[in-house]
Amino acid sequence: MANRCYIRSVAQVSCQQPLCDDWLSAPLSHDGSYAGAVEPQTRGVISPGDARRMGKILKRTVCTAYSALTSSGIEMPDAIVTGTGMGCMENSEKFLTDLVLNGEHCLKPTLFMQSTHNTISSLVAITLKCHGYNNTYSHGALSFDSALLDAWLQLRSGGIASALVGAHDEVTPSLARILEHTHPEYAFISETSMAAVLSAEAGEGPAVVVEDVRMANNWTAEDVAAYLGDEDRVIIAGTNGNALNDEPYARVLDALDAPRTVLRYKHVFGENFSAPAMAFYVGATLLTRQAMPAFLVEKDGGHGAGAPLESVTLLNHAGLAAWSVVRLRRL
Amino acid sequence: MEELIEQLKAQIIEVLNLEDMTPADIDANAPLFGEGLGLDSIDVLELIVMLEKEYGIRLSNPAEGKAIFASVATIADYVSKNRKK
Repeated sequence: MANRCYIRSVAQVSCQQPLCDDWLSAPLSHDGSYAGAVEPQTRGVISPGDARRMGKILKRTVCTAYSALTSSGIEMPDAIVTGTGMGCMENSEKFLTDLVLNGEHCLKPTLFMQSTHNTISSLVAITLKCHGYNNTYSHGALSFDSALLDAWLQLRSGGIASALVGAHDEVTPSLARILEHTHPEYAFISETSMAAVLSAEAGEGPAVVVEDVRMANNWTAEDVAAYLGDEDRVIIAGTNGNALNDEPYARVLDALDAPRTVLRYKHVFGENFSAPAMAFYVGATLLTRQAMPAFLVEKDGGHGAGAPLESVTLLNHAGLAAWSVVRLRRL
Repeated sequence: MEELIEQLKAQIIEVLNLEDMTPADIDANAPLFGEGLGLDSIDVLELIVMLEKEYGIRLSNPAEGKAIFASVATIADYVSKNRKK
């Protein structure tokens, strides 16, 4: 029998107040189509000597990892698995700008070393002195789901007993301008840093498990609908109010034979390649807190106010026929 | 020389991202590595790039590095004798 995969903790840095759940009761609202992350306090987490070499995404990553590990009671995970669409974008921009302006002779070594995608996951390992499994997935909007699937399979099979799984993407103003053209399906662009500690053993407090992780790159809306069962009563979808983005989700929901309660999160946390990680964060938080704030509800499918929230299903469309379905359940 | 030392201090703070420091916090004669600012080998690489970019100096002999980067004063002395711009 496969092991269970418990969510021991989650932590986020985004355009909401960082490293807390204040967004549940008082979400920050942002005007315009782009908002950067609210930076966390690094003092006490990262030494000034280390912080001076870190770009913003690395500081956010260390802070979310530290927060999630502290909350979980697990100091040293067996594995660190990370998803990122664009990696250390700010450092990459600086490095390439130097390359254009100064040629190849005056390139800064720190920007070179800390501009790759797997810098993020490796920096956490170096900070923790974790010599376990370390992997980075960079698969666009399926980056987080890929990392989650990797950790979930290893936990279920008993290969590891715990994992720090996260997704991190920074969006510089210049990248935001590019994304507005290359991704017309976006509505509100922001930045994401999310860390979760998964374990084969339950911790203290409510037990929430990752019951299923499924990705496919050849699914029609009917295939997705067929995979969703009667138990998928509350769905956290990647809808954002933009018809270009929402149409595939509408086709899936139309193909279902019974109404479902649909929640959304991108209007609160914004969009980028790591945004689906925030659906995971929101789902885990709602199940733990037994909360369902009205501003998340896109469609009321009959889940009664105050009724126990037993499970949520994360539905993520990653373009064309690429989909992911993640089931979270409170035991 | 004093003007060059002050300029180098400001450049070191900027290049190494020493956010909490001002030029007045850096003793020109204090060791840059180990004690003093506590810089390391990656910082040396950053300083080598800075010397080439700002002063046109290309260090051809790595063995000279230890003496050149001993302190801000030794860097200033080397720059004043070898600068190309």
